[in-house]
Amino acid sequence: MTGITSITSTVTASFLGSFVEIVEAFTIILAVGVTQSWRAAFTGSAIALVLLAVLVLLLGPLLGLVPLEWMQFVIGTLLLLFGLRWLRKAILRASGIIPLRDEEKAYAAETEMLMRRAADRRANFLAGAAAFKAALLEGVEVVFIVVAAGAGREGMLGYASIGALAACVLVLAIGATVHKPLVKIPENSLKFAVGLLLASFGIFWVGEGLGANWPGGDLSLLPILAVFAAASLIAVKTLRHKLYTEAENNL
Amino acid sequence: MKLLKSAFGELPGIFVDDGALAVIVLVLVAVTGLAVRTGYLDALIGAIVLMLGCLLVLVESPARALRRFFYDG
Repeated sequence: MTGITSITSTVTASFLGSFVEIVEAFTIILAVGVTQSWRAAFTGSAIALVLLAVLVLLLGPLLGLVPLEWMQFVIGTLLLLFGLRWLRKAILRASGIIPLRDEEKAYAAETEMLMRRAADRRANFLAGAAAFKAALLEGVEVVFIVVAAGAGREGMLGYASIGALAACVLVLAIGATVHKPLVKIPENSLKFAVGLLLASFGIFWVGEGLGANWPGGDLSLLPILAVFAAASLIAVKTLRHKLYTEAENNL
Repeated sequence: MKLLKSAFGELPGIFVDDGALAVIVLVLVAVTGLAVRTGYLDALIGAIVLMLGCLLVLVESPARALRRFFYDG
């Protein structure tokens, strides 16, 4: 039971987190490909992925040298920062304080910028650079999610990698079919779920790093997740009500 | 080189969005870590205290953003 909980939560967190990041990279790379050239899009992305692979191959073995407790503590802290950042933004979007992320708008903005640079003699290089940056930054986030979701327990890194790979294949499959920005993805709901998972993992790993004996072992992730979810949903409801009340008072 | 610098320069943004939230979380982690390591708090209690602190921060940060939205324009 404990093993199933670990595997399910690891694969889910890795899959959902990677999915959202890859969709964001896909939007930019698609804009580059459609507006400038597919060669620039693929070259920029490929260079970023090679650089990422080199970094992972160089730094990956170093993870094995770090004592497990320290790694759990540090990665747990980074997961907390990462997860709470996503949760905060998801709460702000769900309560209407900031607008939902619009892949179509992001695509239009990127396309407009690329078109403005089209007359530049370095247009292909600049377009490739945009694809490179998008693939690198989102790729680093995917690598972090995979490492963070999988590094705290032996054998979980493989499952986390499978989750990320599945997400990549799915985004590419959908993208190849629709040839458009993936606007119908409920991005904020996904980010909400990922934020909850990562923040919960963060608390769990920091606790493990401190030497906490969580009751039920990995099953403790479930009540931690439930508490974060309840607090986040109450925050959304309260903020929505306050926003509505303030807006009415200002009329 | 400039491109790499620009790309890697954006990496801290992966972890920090609201500076105050990030600082408070780091302080919470440091204080609970210290309290547990010095034997002042049991490790499990420390982790639960950290969780409660993070929940407070999580609720306070968007509330602060809402106040800025209305009162700072």
